[in-house]
Amino acid sequence: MNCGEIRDFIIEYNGRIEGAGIKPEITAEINSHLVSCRKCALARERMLDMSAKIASDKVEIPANLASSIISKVIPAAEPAKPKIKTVGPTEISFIDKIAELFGISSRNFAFAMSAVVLAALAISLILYNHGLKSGGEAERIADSKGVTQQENIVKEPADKKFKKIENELSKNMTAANNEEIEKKFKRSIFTVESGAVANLTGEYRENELYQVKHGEDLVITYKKVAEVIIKTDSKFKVNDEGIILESGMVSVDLKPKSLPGFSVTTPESVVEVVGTIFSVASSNNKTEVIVKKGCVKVTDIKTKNFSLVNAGESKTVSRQDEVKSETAPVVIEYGSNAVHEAAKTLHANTQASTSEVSHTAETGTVPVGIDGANIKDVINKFKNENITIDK
Amino acid sequence: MECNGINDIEVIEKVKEGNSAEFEKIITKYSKMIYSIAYRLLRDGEEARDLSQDVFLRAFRFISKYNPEFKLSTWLVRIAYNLYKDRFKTKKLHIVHQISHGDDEENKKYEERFIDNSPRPDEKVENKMKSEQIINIINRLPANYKMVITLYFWGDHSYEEIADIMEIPVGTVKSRLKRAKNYLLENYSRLLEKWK
Repeated sequence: MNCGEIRDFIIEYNGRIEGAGIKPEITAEINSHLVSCRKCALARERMLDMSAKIASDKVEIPANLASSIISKVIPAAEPAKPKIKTVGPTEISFIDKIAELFGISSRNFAFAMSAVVLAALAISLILYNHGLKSGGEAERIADSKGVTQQENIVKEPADKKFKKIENELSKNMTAANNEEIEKKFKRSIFTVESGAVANLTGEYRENELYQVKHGEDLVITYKKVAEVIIKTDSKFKVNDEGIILESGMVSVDLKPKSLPGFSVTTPESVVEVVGTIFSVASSNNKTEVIVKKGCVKVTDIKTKNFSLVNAGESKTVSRQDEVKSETAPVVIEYGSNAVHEAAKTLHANTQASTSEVSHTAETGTVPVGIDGANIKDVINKFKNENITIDK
Repeated sequence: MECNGINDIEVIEKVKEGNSAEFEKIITKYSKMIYSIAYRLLRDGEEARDLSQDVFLRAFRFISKYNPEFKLSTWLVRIAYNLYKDRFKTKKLHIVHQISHGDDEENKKYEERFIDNSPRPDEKVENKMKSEQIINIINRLPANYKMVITLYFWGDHSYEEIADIMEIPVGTVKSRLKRAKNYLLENYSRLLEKWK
C-alpha cells in the first residue's frame, strides 16, 4: 500500500486502526507502513488527537431549555391539517355499500352514476337554451304590444346601468366567496384531488418549489374554485395569486369572476384570468397560452401594452425574441353578451399590442404580463385609451 | 421508537388527535439533542435556542406530515438542518467575515487569556486552545460539510441516518465526510506547524 491508501484508512477510521474491524493482514500492512513512514505516522497521530479533541467538545444545555420551548411552542401553534386528500377505506366501502344496495358492482354503479350526471347536465342545457329562446319571444311580444321592454338590459349589453348592477352583484358574490375561502383555506391554499408531487425540500411551504411526479398529472383545486391540472414533471409553486410555473404545462378551468386576479406565472409571462378555461405551457424560454373559453389578457408589465387572447386563439411568448399570435376561428363561449361584445371589440386591438410586446421582448429585459382581474377592468382600461366599444 | 419511557408514535397520534399537551413529551425528550446540534452548527447559545424552538414549532405545525418510517429524531434533525440552511444563507456574509478575520482575533484572544495569569496548567490551556481552533476550522466548512461532521462526531448518527436527514445518498455522505475530515486534518496540521 502507498501513502495515499494508508491516509485513506487513517481518515476513515479517525486514526484508530487497531480494533476498527479491518482485516488482520491489512492492519499489519498499515502498521508496518506507519513504522517506516514518518509522514503517515504523524498524520495518524494528529488524526487521533484531532478526533479526541472534537469528541471532548461539550455543549452546555440551558437549564430551562425544554420548559422555555414548551411555553413558546404549544400556545403559538396548532397542528396544520394534512393538505393532501387521501381516499380512506371508509369512503370506498361506502360506495361499495350503495352499489351493493342496487345489486351491482361498484364499477358499474360509478358508470351508471356518471351517465345520470351527464343526462342531468344535458337536460339542464336544453332547458337553459329553451329559457333563452322564451326570453327572446317575450321581448318580441312585448315589442309588438308597444310595451317598453327592458331595452337597457337586453339590447345594450355595454350599458352602464346594467353593468353596474351586474358588477355589484358579482362583487358581493366574490367578496362572500373570498371570505369563505379565507376562512376555509387559512392554512391551505389548495387541495390535491389526484396525482402526486415530489416535494423537493421536504416541508410544505407557500411558494416552495414542487415537481409533479413523473408519469402522473396532478389535479388540484385552487381556493375551491379553480381546477388546475399540472402535467407530469412540471415544476411549480403556489402562492396567493395563483400558480408559478417554472417549467411544464398547466391547464386551468376557472369559474368566471370567481377568483379575481388568479394568475399563472412563467419565466416569460404572467397569465391572468378574466374567467375562462386556458392552458399555459412553459419550456425552453418560451410560454404558450391556449385559450379554450373566455379570454385572458397579455400585458407588458413595463410599457402596459397588452393584447387579448380569446377563445380558440393561442399565443407564444418567447423570452428571447418574439411573440407569436395564432388566430384560430373565434368561438367565444361566454354567458354574457356584454363580455362577448367587449371581447370581440378588444380583440381588434390585439395586433398592435402584440407587436409592441414583441418589440419589448426583443430587448430581453421586459417581462410580459397578463393583467385584468375582471372584464369590467378590461373594458374601462380600453375606454380610457379612447377605444370605442361597438354596440 | 420507545426511549425514556415514551413511545413516539403513540404520542404523535395523540397530538394529531388534538391533544397538544402531549407534544411536551416530545420537546422534553428531544430538546437537548436538537439544541446540541443547533449549538454546534451556530456556536451561539441564543441562536441555538431560537433554532431549537423553531424546529419544534414547525414539527408541531406539520406533525401530520411526519412519516413513521423514519425515526422521530431523524425527522427533527432534518427540520433543524433545513432551518439552519435557511439561516446560513442569510448569514453567509457575516460568516465569511468571521472566517477572514477569525484567526488573528481568536489567536489574540487566546494569547491574552494565556498571558492573563490563567489559573490552569499550561498544557490544559494549550489543549483547550487546540480544541477551540479545531472548532474554528469546522465552522469554516460549508453548511453541507459542517452538518455531516456535526452529525458524525456529535450526533451519534449512522451514515444511513445522516443520508435520511440530509436527503442525499449514503455514498455522498461518505464522500463529504472524507473530504471534510481531510480538510480538518490538513488545517489542523498546518496550525500545529505554525505553533511549533
